[in-house]
Amino acid sequence: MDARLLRRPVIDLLSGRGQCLTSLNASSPRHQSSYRRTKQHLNIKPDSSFLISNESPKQDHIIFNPPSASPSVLHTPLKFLPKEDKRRQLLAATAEKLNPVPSRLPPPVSRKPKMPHHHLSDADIAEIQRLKRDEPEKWNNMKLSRKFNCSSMFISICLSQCGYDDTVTRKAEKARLDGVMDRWGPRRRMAHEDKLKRMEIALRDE
Amino acid sequence: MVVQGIRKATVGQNGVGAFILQCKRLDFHYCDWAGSSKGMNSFLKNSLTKFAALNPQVEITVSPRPRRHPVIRGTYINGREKAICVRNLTKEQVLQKAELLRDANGEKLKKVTKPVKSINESVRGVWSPYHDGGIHV
Amino acid sequence: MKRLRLERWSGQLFTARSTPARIRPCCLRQQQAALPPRIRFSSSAAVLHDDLIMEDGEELDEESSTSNTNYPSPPLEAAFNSSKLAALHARLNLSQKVPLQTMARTLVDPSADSNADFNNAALANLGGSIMSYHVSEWLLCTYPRLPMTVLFAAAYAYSGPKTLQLVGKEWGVETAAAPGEEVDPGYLQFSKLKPGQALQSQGGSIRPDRKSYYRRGISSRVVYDDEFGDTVSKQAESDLPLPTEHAYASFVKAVVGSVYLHSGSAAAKTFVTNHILSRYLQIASLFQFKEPVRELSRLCAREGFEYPVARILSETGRRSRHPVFVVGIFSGKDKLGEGAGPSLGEARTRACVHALKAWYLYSPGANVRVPSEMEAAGAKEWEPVHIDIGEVIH
Repeated sequence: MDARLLRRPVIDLLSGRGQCLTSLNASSPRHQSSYRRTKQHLNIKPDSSFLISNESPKQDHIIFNPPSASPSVLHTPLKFLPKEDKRRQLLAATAEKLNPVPSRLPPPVSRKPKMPHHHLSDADIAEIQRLKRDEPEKWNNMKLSRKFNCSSMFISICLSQCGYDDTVTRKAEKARLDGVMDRWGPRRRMAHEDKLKRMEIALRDE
Repeated sequence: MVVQGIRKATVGQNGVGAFILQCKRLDFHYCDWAGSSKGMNSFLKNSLTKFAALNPQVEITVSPRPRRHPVIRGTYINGREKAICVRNLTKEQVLQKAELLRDANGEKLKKVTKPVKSINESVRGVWSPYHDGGIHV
Repeated sequence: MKRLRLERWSGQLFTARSTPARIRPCCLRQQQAALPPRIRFSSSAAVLHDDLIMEDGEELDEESSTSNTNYPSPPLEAAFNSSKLAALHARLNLSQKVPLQTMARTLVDPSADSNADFNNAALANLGGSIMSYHVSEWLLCTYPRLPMTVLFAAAYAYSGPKTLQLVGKEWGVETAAAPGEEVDPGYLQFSKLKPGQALQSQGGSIRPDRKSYYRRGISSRVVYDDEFGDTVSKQAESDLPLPTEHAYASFVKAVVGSVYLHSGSAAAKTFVTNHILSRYLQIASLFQFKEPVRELSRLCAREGFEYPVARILSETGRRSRHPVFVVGIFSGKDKLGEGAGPSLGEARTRACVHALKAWYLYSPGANVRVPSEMEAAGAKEWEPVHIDIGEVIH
């Protein structure tokens, strides 16, 4: 694709060059608010790629000037396209220009990204189960996960088969958490309920 | 079961695919005696057969309405009705009114300000302030 | 203005009668001269009876003249006199090969007339199969990676009873208050389930599992259940009262079936494409995820991609009351999806949902060829469509 056809969006131009009308940059006094003036302030010069100039190509061409919007789910990423799809070559050709692979990836959400390492053997698992069976009070899941350098989720999966009955501790833990929640005031409770509702909505992607 | 499906219903877009004429029925009411029905009666005698043959999608009924002005009443698929009084109109004007009712979609009249109305999602996406990185060429 | 009692004059009272003696008397002096002699009016049946001048006092002896049979649905001859039916036929732009009698039959539900020769049960069965075939082949070819549950939901959205009721209403079909011989054949006739009445259990399902607490897995639904993943009742046809949406659904299916019978499979396919598949559905809104983060990591492990990592693309107001985080999911150096949310956890969930939807909603293109296109004469050679190995299981 012709490099000249890929233009920066309006926002970039606004910040960089003085392309917009002067009224936008001028700090308008408070009392000047009116419908006409507000509309005038929004009267921005269009992006230069939309204007016909001497430099613009003579033949029919496509102006590619995507807006700032979150990407659509209907645009399948290159990695997800099957091997026989024709878009693979097209996307691969333009991908370098559109989304150049950054030299540094953005920072991860969690400091230590949890990768599964699968380093525990059967003997280790037997050891985990033995420790729990022998001293259930001393070895809780957190301690075991720290000792064996794995997730507490994995520990709980291991211990579900060792025959140790944890219903009592589960009940005690639930009672403790319920006691904590009972002490909450209306604001914290409402915030908690809102958070749960938001997660439900996020799972439906609305 | 990991992903669940949510049950919804599709939305009809009349004219995309098939087009259904929205006028379901036209009732023609006339009076034999009154002079305001003169044009209407002549329309019923001379042009209604042709009009009905040209518009087979519309159910047409004719009924007298003695000592009242003549009326054309259209019934529409959305459940609404539109009635036009055609008193003292000529045969051609009555035909015009009938065609007006046939072509209407039954909704209340409203000002159309935008030339295109669509329920499709915007291909450019909804503007978001968090994605204005732009493309650096 | 005095209210006009149109129903008493025109339409249904007169159309179904064959003999003038059976016309119920009414206090109307018909204006014969003003009417054109022979038009496709609903009142044209009345026009035929030349000396129809009846006053209140002239009660005709109904018992002596009526035939002793009383059919539960209108007779076939009535189809020619119904202007509603002819208008419906023309509105749907059906070919002349589909006769009006068949159209009249599509409007009679088994709950109105239990005689299988006069109701639409057989036509609806045929049309339902054709419709679900075209809908499912289109869905499978256009979105080859849809999970089975979402495929069921999409099939329900296109050809489920709720949608078919909307379709029937958008065709301008109304329901008769009660079925009977005297009803205009242009009305949908069925006996309606009373409000508050439960749907009758129809003798169990055809599934081999006896106990209701047995797990109904997705694979068993594909085999034993219908196209929406619902159980199929053992007693296939029943003439019990039914909800309105089911009556409309069987009517629309019966119309498809009659188009197939009289005009052929190509016409039936065009009909389904125009009326059912042209409707609007946001297929991305049918997904309800449970554990998207884990599902995405299982997907990447299955497909041999690198482990997905959530990375912060941008953020604002981390210490404020309303922070916004934009989180992207990266597999290696490729971004799979991104989402914005007020907390890092929610943004990560949204990003994972976005990535999973991008995987499941892969489409080879809107105009992908479907198997039924091979039925046309001189069709190009078939190129295999993309077939996916199925949804992620964890």
